[in-house]
Amino acid sequence: MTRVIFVSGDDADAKADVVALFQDAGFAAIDLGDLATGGAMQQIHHPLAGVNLASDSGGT
Amino acid sequence: MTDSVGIIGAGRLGQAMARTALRAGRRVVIANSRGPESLASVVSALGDGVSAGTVDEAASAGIVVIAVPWDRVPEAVQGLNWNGQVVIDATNDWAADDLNGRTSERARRRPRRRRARREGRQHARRRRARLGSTGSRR
Repeated sequence: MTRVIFVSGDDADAKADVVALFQDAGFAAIDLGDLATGGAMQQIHHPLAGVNLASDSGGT
Repeated sequence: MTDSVGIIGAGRLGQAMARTALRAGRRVVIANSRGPESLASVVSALGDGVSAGTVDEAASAGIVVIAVPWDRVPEAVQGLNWNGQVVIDATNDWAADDLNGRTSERARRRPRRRRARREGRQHARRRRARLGSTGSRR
């Protein structure tokens, strides 16, 4: 099982670099979309902030 | 280029990000507002692959992590020269009563964009990604 980490961003290349960084560190990275969509979900006090998830498939 | 990770802020978040980047096999430059000499013990505790640098040095890495408290972000990034780096915004506005429903990145970007336009400069191209913790930083 690997720990899930969420990534949001408006630049696809930047997100790919960040996803690669966290996958290399052993996380399952899940791309939530752009900042307006995914960023809002990750924002503190919003649904995905502070949620502790694990994945058995390695994420995206 | 993304084999180096610069971290601005050397508290709990910055040090955790340094360990994460090390685990991913990246070189790490960590910086704070007090200068690299203040980070000797932090760097030695983090181990090989981590060096202390100035904020400018950390900000010139391929991936740059902003890891300072929310209210210190403006001064931490003021005057930095961005040149296509990937910026990970790992900060949170814990109070969140000044955002008016916007995300933190949006709240922060607007004044910057206005300022750049007023001064007639083309603002540096920046690429941003947001990192979401899954629970370690309560």
